[in-house]
Amino acid sequence: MLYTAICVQGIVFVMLACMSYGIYINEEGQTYEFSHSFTVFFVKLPCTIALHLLLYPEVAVGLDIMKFANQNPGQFVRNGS
Amino acid sequence: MGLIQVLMALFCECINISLLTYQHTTDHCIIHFVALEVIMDVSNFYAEAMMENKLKEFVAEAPKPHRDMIEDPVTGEKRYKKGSEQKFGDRSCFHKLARIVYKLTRCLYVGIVFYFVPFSTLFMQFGYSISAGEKKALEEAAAKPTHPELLF
Repeated sequence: MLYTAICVQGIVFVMLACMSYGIYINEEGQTYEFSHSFTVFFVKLPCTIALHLLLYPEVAVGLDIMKFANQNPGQFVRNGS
Repeated sequence: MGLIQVLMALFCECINISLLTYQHTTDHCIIHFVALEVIMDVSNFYAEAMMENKLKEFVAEAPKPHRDMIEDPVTGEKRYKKGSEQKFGDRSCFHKLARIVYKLTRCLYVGIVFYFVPFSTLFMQFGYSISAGEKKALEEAAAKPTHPELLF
């Protein structure tokens, strides 16, 4: 189960790394200029906040797992900590 | 696994911000947002595909740490022992490190990421536009001859 979970997270990481590489090499040929369109602005902000709200439960569960491992070391280390 | 999950979420958020910062069309903003959402859901798709797994049920219900009941030294009432009341020296070396990492991650997330990161797109696009302007000016300056008299 642990190795499977690490494998799945590895796949997610590779996909994210590919996206960041795409940004690095400027795959889409974007220009670094300020967009003067208000429609773009009004889409950007909700998109950022929406993804933030989508990711918050993931982070909260991750922190809970970390806390659980900290508070209950006996369940993860042989003969307790 | 919890740390990996948190780091992935933070990495995804960084990519989202850097992608959205220099978008010029609404379509691209939404496409990138949906793409990142789907990528982050890959692990959930896999977890949902697993059937009759005890660990899956455990993680899905957001595990709560087991705490011992102790008597409060001041009020004398029974209450749960706090994590901070567990002596740091009693922990193993690994759990000392794990505790420090947990505290630092939580401080970073609760103090900075949760409140400020969603709005950083607004500031970053100004930063990009300024740096792009400076870059353009530098390129123009480099293209111009430094000593015009040499042209004649």
